[in-house]
Amino acid sequence: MRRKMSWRNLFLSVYGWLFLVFIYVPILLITVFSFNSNPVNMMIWQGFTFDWYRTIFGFPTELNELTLYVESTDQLYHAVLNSLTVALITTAVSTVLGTSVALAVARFRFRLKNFYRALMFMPMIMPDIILGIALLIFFVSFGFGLGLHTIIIGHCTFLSSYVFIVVSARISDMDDSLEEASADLGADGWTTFKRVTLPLIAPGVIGGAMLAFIISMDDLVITYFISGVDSTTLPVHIYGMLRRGIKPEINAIATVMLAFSFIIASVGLYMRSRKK
Amino acid sequence: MQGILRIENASKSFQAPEGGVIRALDNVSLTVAHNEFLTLLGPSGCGKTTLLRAVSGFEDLDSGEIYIDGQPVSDQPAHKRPVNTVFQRYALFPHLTVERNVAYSLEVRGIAKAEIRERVGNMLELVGLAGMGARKIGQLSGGQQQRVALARSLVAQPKILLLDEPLSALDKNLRHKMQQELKILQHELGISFIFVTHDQEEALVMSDRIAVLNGGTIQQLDAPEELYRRPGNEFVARFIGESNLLDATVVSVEGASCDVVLTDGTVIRDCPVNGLKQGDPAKVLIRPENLVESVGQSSADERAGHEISGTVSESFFAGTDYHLVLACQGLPPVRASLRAGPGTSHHTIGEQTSLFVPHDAVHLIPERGAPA
Ligand SMILES: Nc1ncnc2c1ncn2[C@@H]1O[C@H](COP(=O)(O)OP(=O)(O)OP(=O)(O)O)[C@@H](O)[C@H]1O
Ligand SMILES: [Mg+2]
Repeated sequence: MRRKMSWRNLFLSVYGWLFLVFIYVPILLITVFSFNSNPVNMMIWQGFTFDWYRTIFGFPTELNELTLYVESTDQLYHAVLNSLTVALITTAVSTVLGTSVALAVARFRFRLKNFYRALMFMPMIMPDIILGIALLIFFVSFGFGLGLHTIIIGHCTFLSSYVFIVVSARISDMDDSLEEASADLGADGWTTFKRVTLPLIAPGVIGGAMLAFIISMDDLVITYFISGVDSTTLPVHIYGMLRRGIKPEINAIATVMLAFSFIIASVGLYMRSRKK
Repeated sequence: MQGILRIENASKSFQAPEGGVIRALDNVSLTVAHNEFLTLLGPSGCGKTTLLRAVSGFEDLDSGEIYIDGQPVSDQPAHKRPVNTVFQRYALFPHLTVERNVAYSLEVRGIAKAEIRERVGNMLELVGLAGMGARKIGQLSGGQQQRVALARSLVAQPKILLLDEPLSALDKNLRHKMQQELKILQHELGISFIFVTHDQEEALVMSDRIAVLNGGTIQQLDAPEELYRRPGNEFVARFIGESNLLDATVVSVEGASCDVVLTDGTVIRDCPVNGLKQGDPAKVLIRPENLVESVGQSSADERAGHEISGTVSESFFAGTDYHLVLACQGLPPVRASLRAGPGTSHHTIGEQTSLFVPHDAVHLIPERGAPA
């Protein structure tokens, strides 16, 4: 049966499409511009080229030095490597910390529990710039030299709370009596955790971990304050490049990062759908 | 009696969130025999679940001790106790198949795969779920989930099976069916069942004995028939079955029977004495279905001292019975269910009538405070 489209439905679907256009057009433009050979004004299409990609991956091009940021790709690679190192370690640490705290808070009754929960939400609503300054002051006053380790510690402090929030939501959906049923059937605490609790909260843990990874890869403001001179991450590096003007290479870098995030998100969604 | 389970003076209080203390269990003692079907019956909040959780190890007692098969279990954690529970909402593992749910307690004990497969297969067959082993829990109906829960907690052959209102989520027909199946299963397996319900009919139908709980104490522990016919106190009389409870005083005692006078002056003769003495206050319990129509009882002489008279204030027909409410001056309304058969007729409201009280239809409950 075909339903006649009312004005209201028409309006809503137009609105829906406009919304998507609003979100995706800028991203689409960046991708398109990354293939534009015009070195001076990237808004004007001149011809198709892979040159911008070639430069960021270190292949020789005919391009004039002036149109490029990258003196050597080493710096860029170094930043990417730093970002990955930070993100991987941070993800591992904050996933374990956040998950265990979420389990503890859900399991035990104690005074000020809600206050504690609220404290765990704080890093989420605290402005990044303040968190960045606070961490900087903390590290300096305790005599930490800035470097990758300070970035990792800094990221862990707020990403643990993100994981906590995601995993807590999952735990609150879980029926408490399942763990009791497991104990009743003869499983000790560790067995219950392995066989019941963990499989049931796994989607939350994986979701939290991916969120942590993406935020860590992406973070500029906080990292900017607590990274040392030779420990820039990719976002900080890009920000540095931008201060020297916007050049077309940036489009290629952005497109590569976009593809990377897209792959991670797809893997995440795929794993999630398999879990259900 | 050296039963499979002995609970001695168990007490447990909770701190109420509003302040104050809730005595969930107040000095509860009871013994469950081998192969017995014992029911804990009582209104909501009377401590049934708390008692079960104390046995299974999820609630520590404030005082008292629990013995399973003669062994004190207070310092045994839940996973080491030889009891299993069927939870009220089943608590089946949603991430496992039916088979793996049932196998769970065997798997965590490290039993060999081949043996697990065999025992799980037998168990599923026993509860009528053969062939459904590969399903996920979400793909089962309520009644089937109920059976999985049962199979899961029976497969490791516990000494005692605890069931916390396992049938309350099922519709009426399925419930009746499961009541019978549970009873048969218990008989076949020879495991003691402790069954919680707040449905008195269910308790009467299924149990070997029933413990009636109220406010954390056991009011009476007896076989269903005894409980129904000779309740020990007013609470039990009101909680189980329909009842007329009339205030009375014992006027004379003759051996095992006595005469009592009701508050309106009516005398009822030849009641079982139940340990009462002359002058004692008592409650007279008359079940509505035990009253019969006076008309047709032999002579006025025989009827004397076995009659309650009043005005019909309510009257309706309900298939097998006529339901009457008799308003008598000086007495609370008296309810009667008269078997609808030849010779019974519909009473009209406002009609003056008498009901016959057979002498074995009366049970006297000693008033609180009087010696029982
Ligand atoms: N963890 C707890 N904290 C505080 N009070 C509790 C707790 N558990 C039970 N209670 C209280 O103890 C009393 C007995 O509870 P219990 O769950 O044993 O009742 P129940 O007989 O199983 O009732 P129902 O038929 O409604 O399941 C209730 O008044 C309840 O409010
Ligand atoms: Mg209960």
